[in-house]
Amino acid sequence: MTFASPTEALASRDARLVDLVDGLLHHGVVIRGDVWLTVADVDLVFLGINVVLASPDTIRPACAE
Amino acid sequence: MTAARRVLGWTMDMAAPLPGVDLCPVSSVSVLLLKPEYGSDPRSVLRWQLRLFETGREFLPVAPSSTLHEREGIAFTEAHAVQIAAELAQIAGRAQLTVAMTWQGVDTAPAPASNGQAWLRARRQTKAASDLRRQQAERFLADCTSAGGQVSIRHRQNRVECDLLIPRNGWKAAVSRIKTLAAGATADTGHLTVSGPWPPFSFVQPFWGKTDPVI
Repeated sequence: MTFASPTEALASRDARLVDLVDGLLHHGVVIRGDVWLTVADVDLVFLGINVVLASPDTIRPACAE
Repeated sequence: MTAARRVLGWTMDMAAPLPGVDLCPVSSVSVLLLKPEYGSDPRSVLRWQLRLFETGREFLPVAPSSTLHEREGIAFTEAHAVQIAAELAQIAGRAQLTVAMTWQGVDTAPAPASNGQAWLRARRQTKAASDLRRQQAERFLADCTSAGGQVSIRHRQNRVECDLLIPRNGWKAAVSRIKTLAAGATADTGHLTVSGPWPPFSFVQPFWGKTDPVI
Protein backbone atom coordinates (compact mmCIF):
# COMPACT_ATOMS: atom_id res chain seq x y z
CA MET A 1 0.00 0.00 0.00
CA THR A 2 1.19 3.50 -0.80
CA PHE A 3 0.04 6.41 1.33
CA ALA A 4 0.65 9.97 0.17
CA SER A 5 -0.34 13.21 1.81
CA PRO A 6 -1.89 15.74 -0.62
CA THR A 7 1.40 17.66 -0.79
CA GLU A 8 3.31 14.47 -1.61
CA ALA A 9 0.68 13.46 -4.19
CA LEU A 10 0.89 16.85 -5.92
CA ALA A 11 4.68 16.68 -6.14
CA SER A 12 4.87 13.00 -7.09
CA ARG A 13 5.81 11.56 -10.49
CA ASP A 14 4.46 8.13 -9.60
CA ALA A 15 1.90 7.32 -12.29
CA ARG A 16 -0.65 6.11 -9.74
CA LEU A 17 -0.48 9.35 -7.78
CA VAL A 18 -0.44 11.46 -10.94
CA ASP A 19 -3.69 9.68 -11.96
CA LEU A 20 -5.14 10.28 -8.54
CA VAL A 21 -4.41 14.03 -8.66
CA ASP A 22 -5.69 14.14 -12.23
CA GLY A 23 -8.95 12.63 -11.01
CA LEU A 24 -9.28 15.49 -8.50
CA LEU A 25 -8.51 18.11 -11.12
CA HIS A 26 -10.84 16.78 -13.78
CA HIS A 27 -14.05 15.43 -12.46
CA GLY A 28 -15.44 13.27 -15.21
CA VAL A 29 -16.74 9.80 -15.84
CA VAL A 30 -15.36 7.18 -18.17
CA ILE A 31 -17.61 4.52 -19.62
CA ARG A 32 -15.87 1.38 -20.80
CA GLY A 33 -17.59 -1.60 -22.27
CA ASP A 34 -17.31 -4.56 -24.58
CA VAL A 35 -20.10 -5.72 -26.85
CA TRP A 36 -20.21 -9.09 -28.59
CA LEU A 37 -22.64 -9.92 -31.34
CA THR A 38 -23.17 -13.65 -31.07
CA VAL A 39 -25.29 -16.02 -33.16
CA ALA A 40 -25.87 -19.61 -32.02
CA ASP A 41 -23.05 -19.34 -29.47
CA VAL A 42 -20.62 -18.21 -32.15
CA ASP A 43 -18.96 -14.82 -31.57
CA LEU A 44 -19.23 -12.81 -34.76
CA VAL A 45 -18.46 -9.19 -33.96
CA PHE A 46 -16.71 -7.45 -31.08
CA LEU A 47 -17.03 -3.75 -30.24
CA GLY A 48 -14.85 -2.03 -27.67
CA ILE A 49 -16.36 1.17 -26.28
CA ASN A 50 -14.50 3.95 -24.48
CA VAL A 51 -16.54 7.07 -23.78
CA VAL A 52 -15.49 9.98 -21.61
CA LEU A 53 -18.20 12.08 -20.03
CA ALA A 54 -17.12 15.37 -18.56
CA SER A 55 -18.31 18.91 -18.18
CA PRO A 56 -17.46 21.30 -21.04
CA ASP A 57 -15.25 23.21 -18.58
CA THR A 58 -13.21 20.06 -18.06
CA ILE A 59 -12.91 19.16 -21.71
CA ARG A 60 -12.21 22.65 -23.15
CA PRO A 61 -8.78 23.17 -21.49
CA ALA A 62 -7.78 19.58 -22.28
CA CYS A 63 -8.55 20.16 -25.99
CA ALA A 64 -6.55 23.38 -25.99
CA GLU A 65 -3.38 21.61 -24.72
CA MET B 1 -6.40 45.62 -17.60
CA THR B 2 -6.11 43.67 -14.33
CA ALA B 3 -6.39 39.91 -14.48
CA ALA B 4 -9.45 38.47 -12.78
CA ARG B 5 -9.10 36.54 -9.55
CA ARG B 6 -10.07 32.87 -9.58
CA VAL B 7 -12.70 31.62 -7.14
CA LEU B 8 -11.31 28.99 -4.76
CA GLY B 9 -14.51 28.46 -2.83
CA TRP B 10 -16.82 29.91 -0.19
CA THR B 11 -16.51 30.25 3.54
CA MET B 12 -18.36 31.62 6.55
CA ASP B 13 -15.10 32.14 8.40
CA MET B 14 -14.39 35.87 8.33
CA ALA B 15 -10.79 35.55 9.55
CA ALA B 16 -8.16 36.77 7.10
CA PRO B 17 -7.06 33.91 4.84
CA LEU B 18 -3.55 33.29 3.48
CA PRO B 19 -1.59 36.19 1.90
CA GLY B 20 -2.32 34.96 -1.65
CA VAL B 21 -6.05 34.77 -1.04
CA ASP B 22 -8.64 37.55 -0.75
CA LEU B 23 -11.90 37.32 1.13
CA CYS B 24 -14.90 38.97 -0.47
CA PRO B 25 -17.98 39.06 1.79
CA VAL B 26 -21.27 38.67 -0.09
CA SER B 27 -24.46 38.29 1.89
CA SER B 28 -23.98 35.67 4.65
CA VAL B 29 -21.00 33.96 3.01
CA SER B 30 -17.65 35.09 1.65
CA VAL B 31 -15.99 34.23 -1.63
CA LEU B 32 -12.36 33.09 -1.45
CA LEU B 33 -10.43 34.56 -4.38
CA LEU B 34 -6.93 33.66 -5.53
CA LYS B 35 -4.81 36.68 -6.44
CA PRO B 36 -3.91 36.51 -10.15
CA GLU B 37 -0.15 36.63 -9.53
CA TYR B 38 -0.43 33.21 -7.84
CA GLY B 39 -1.77 31.52 -10.97
CA SER B 40 -5.13 30.53 -12.36
CA ASP B 41 -4.54 27.05 -13.79
CA PRO B 42 -6.32 24.08 -12.14
CA ARG B 43 -3.14 22.86 -10.42
CA SER B 44 -2.51 26.27 -8.79
CA VAL B 45 -6.13 26.41 -7.69
CA LEU B 46 -5.87 22.93 -6.17
CA ARG B 47 -2.59 23.82 -4.42
CA TRP B 48 -4.10 26.96 -2.85
CA GLN B 49 -7.27 25.16 -1.86
CA LEU B 50 -5.09 22.62 -0.13
CA ARG B 51 -3.14 25.36 1.68
CA LEU B 52 -6.38 26.88 2.90
CA PHE B 53 -7.62 23.47 4.01
CA GLU B 54 -4.39 22.80 5.89
CA THR B 55 -4.84 26.00 7.89
CA GLY B 56 -8.02 24.39 9.25
CA ARG B 57 -10.41 26.72 7.45
CA GLU B 58 -13.89 25.41 6.67
CA PHE B 59 -14.75 26.17 3.06
CA LEU B 60 -16.75 24.85 0.15
CA PRO B 61 -14.23 24.20 -2.65
CA VAL B 62 -15.01 24.74 -6.32
CA ALA B 63 -13.80 22.04 -8.72
CA PRO B 64 -10.20 23.10 -9.55
CA SER B 65 -10.81 22.71 -13.28
CA SER B 66 -13.83 25.01 -13.26
CA THR B 67 -13.31 28.42 -14.81
CA LEU B 68 -15.07 30.51 -12.22
CA HIS B 69 -13.73 34.03 -11.85
CA GLU B 70 -14.61 36.75 -9.37
CA ARG B 71 -17.31 38.57 -11.34
CA GLU B 72 -19.36 35.46 -12.04
CA GLY B 73 -18.51 34.06 -8.60
CA ILE B 74 -19.82 37.13 -6.78
CA ALA B 75 -22.97 37.29 -8.93
CA PHE B 76 -23.56 33.61 -8.27
CA THR B 77 -23.02 34.05 -4.53
CA GLU B 78 -25.55 36.89 -4.39
CA ALA B 79 -28.13 34.60 -5.97
CA HIS B 80 -27.30 31.38 -4.10
CA ALA B 81 -25.99 32.35 -0.66
CA VAL B 82 -28.54 30.13 1.09
CA GLN B 83 -27.63 27.03 -0.95
CA ILE B 84 -23.93 27.69 -0.44
CA ALA B 85 -24.42 27.99 3.31
CA ALA B 86 -26.37 24.71 3.32
CA GLU B 87 -23.61 22.96 1.36
CA LEU B 88 -21.02 24.35 3.75
CA ALA B 89 -22.94 22.91 6.68
CA GLN B 90 -23.02 19.48 4.97
CA ILE B 91 -19.25 19.21 4.71
CA ALA B 92 -18.28 21.06 7.90
CA GLY B 93 -15.60 19.18 9.79
CA ARG B 94 -15.18 16.67 6.95
CA ALA B 95 -12.33 15.69 4.67
CA GLN B 96 -11.92 13.39 1.71
CA LEU B 97 -9.68 10.33 1.52
CA THR B 98 -9.07 8.99 -1.97
CA VAL B 99 -8.46 5.25 -2.24
CA ALA B 100 -7.41 3.68 -5.55
CA MET B 101 -6.88 0.06 -6.47
CA THR B 102 -4.69 -0.45 -9.54
CA TRP B 103 -3.85 -3.62 -11.39
CA GLN B 104 -1.88 -4.24 -14.55
CA GLY B 105 -2.12 -5.88 -17.91
CA VAL B 106 -5.53 -7.50 -17.69
CA ASP B 107 -7.43 -5.02 -19.83
CA THR B 108 -5.00 -5.13 -22.73
CA ALA B 109 -6.24 -6.65 -25.99
CA PRO B 110 -5.06 -10.20 -26.69
CA ALA B 111 -2.27 -10.82 -29.22
CA PRO B 112 -3.28 -11.40 -32.86
CA ALA B 113 -4.64 -14.92 -33.29
CA SER B 114 -4.71 -17.34 -36.19
CA ASN B 115 -8.35 -16.49 -36.88
CA GLY B 116 -11.10 -14.17 -35.70
CA GLN B 117 -12.85 -16.82 -33.63
CA ALA B 118 -9.70 -17.55 -31.62
CA TRP B 119 -9.14 -13.82 -31.05
CA LEU B 120 -12.71 -13.31 -29.84
CA ARG B 121 -12.34 -16.28 -27.48
CA ALA B 122 -9.09 -14.86 -26.12
CA ARG B 123 -10.73 -11.46 -25.74
CA ARG B 124 -13.57 -13.04 -23.76
CA GLN B 125 -11.07 -14.72 -21.42
CA THR B 126 -9.21 -11.43 -20.96
CA LYS B 127 -12.50 -9.71 -20.17
CA ALA B 128 -13.42 -12.39 -17.62
CA ALA B 129 -10.03 -12.00 -15.90
CA SER B 130 -10.42 -8.24 -15.91
CA ASP B 131 -13.94 -8.45 -14.46
CA LEU B 132 -12.65 -10.69 -11.69
CA ARG B 133 -9.90 -8.21 -10.75
CA ARG B 134 -12.41 -5.37 -10.83
CA GLN B 135 -14.87 -7.26 -8.63
CA GLN B 136 -12.13 -8.06 -6.12
CA ALA B 137 -11.06 -4.42 -6.07
CA GLU B 138 -14.67 -3.26 -5.67
CA ARG B 139 -15.23 -5.70 -2.82
CA PHE B 140 -12.15 -4.39 -1.07
CA LEU B 141 -13.22 -0.78 -1.56
CA ALA B 142 -16.69 -1.66 -0.27
CA ASP B 143 -15.01 -2.91 2.91
CA CYS B 144 -13.17 0.40 3.11
CA THR B 145 -16.48 2.25 3.23
CA SER B 146 -16.85 1.22 6.83
CA ALA B 147 -13.85 3.52 7.43
CA GLY B 148 -15.85 6.48 6.19
CA GLY B 149 -19.35 7.78 5.68
CA GLN B 150 -20.41 8.65 2.16
CA VAL B 151 -18.55 7.19 -0.79
CA SER B 152 -18.12 8.12 -4.41
CA ILE B 153 -16.74 5.38 -6.74
CA ARG B 154 -15.12 5.87 -10.18
CA HIS B 155 -14.11 3.20 -12.66
CA ARG B 156 -11.11 3.65 -14.95
CA GLN B 157 -9.01 1.35 -17.06
CA ASN B 158 -7.18 -1.09 -14.75
CA ARG B 159 -8.22 1.03 -11.80
CA VAL B 160 -11.10 1.56 -9.39
CA GLU B 161 -11.12 4.64 -7.18
CA CYS B 162 -13.32 5.76 -4.38
CA ASP B 163 -13.49 8.82 -2.18
CA LEU B 164 -14.47 8.53 1.44
CA LEU B 165 -16.00 11.40 3.35
CA ILE B 166 -14.47 11.19 6.81
CA PRO B 167 -14.24 13.39 9.90
CA ARG B 168 -11.39 15.79 9.33
CA ASN B 169 -9.65 14.91 12.57
CA GLY B 170 -10.28 11.18 12.10
CA TRP B 171 -8.35 10.64 8.90
CA LYS B 172 -5.41 8.87 10.57
CA ALA B 173 -7.77 6.29 12.06
CA ALA B 174 -9.40 5.80 8.64
CA VAL B 175 -6.02 5.25 6.95
CA SER B 176 -5.00 2.83 9.66
CA ARG B 177 -8.24 0.88 9.20
CA ILE B 178 -7.66 0.68 5.43
CA LYS B 179 -4.09 -0.54 6.09
CA THR B 180 -5.45 -3.27 8.33
CA LEU B 181 -8.00 -4.29 5.70
CA ALA B 182 -5.30 -4.38 3.02
CA ALA B 183 -3.05 -6.51 5.20
CA GLY B 184 -5.88 -8.97 5.80
CA ALA B 185 -7.11 -9.15 2.19
CA THR B 186 -7.06 -12.72 0.92
CA ALA B 187 -7.63 -12.00 -2.77
CA ASP B 188 -4.95 -10.35 -4.88
CA THR B 189 -6.63 -7.00 -5.35
CA GLY B 190 -3.71 -5.12 -6.92
CA HIS B 191 -1.85 -2.09 -5.62
CA LEU B 192 -3.57 0.14 -3.12
CA THR B 193 -2.95 3.88 -3.11
CA VAL B 194 -4.42 6.11 -0.43
CA SER B 195 -4.14 9.88 -0.32
CA GLY B 196 -5.56 12.54 1.94
CA PRO B 197 -6.91 14.35 3.74
CA TRP B 198 -8.14 16.47 0.79
CA PRO B 199 -10.87 19.08 0.78
CA PRO B 200 -14.09 17.14 0.10
CA PHE B 201 -14.29 17.88 -3.65
CA SER B 202 -16.31 14.78 -4.51
CA PHE B 203 -19.01 15.55 -2.00
CA VAL B 204 -19.89 19.04 -3.12
CA GLN B 205 -23.11 19.06 -5.09
CA PRO B 206 -22.70 20.80 -8.46
CA PHE B 207 -25.93 22.71 -7.96
CA TRP B 208 -24.78 25.76 -9.92
CA GLY B 209 -24.75 23.92 -13.24
CA LYS B 210 -28.49 23.34 -12.98
CA THR B 211 -29.61 26.75 -11.91
CA ASP B 212 -27.31 29.41 -13.22
CA PRO B 213 -26.34 29.75 -16.89
CA VAL B 214 -23.64 32.33 -16.02
CA ILE B 215 -21.42 29.52 -14.71
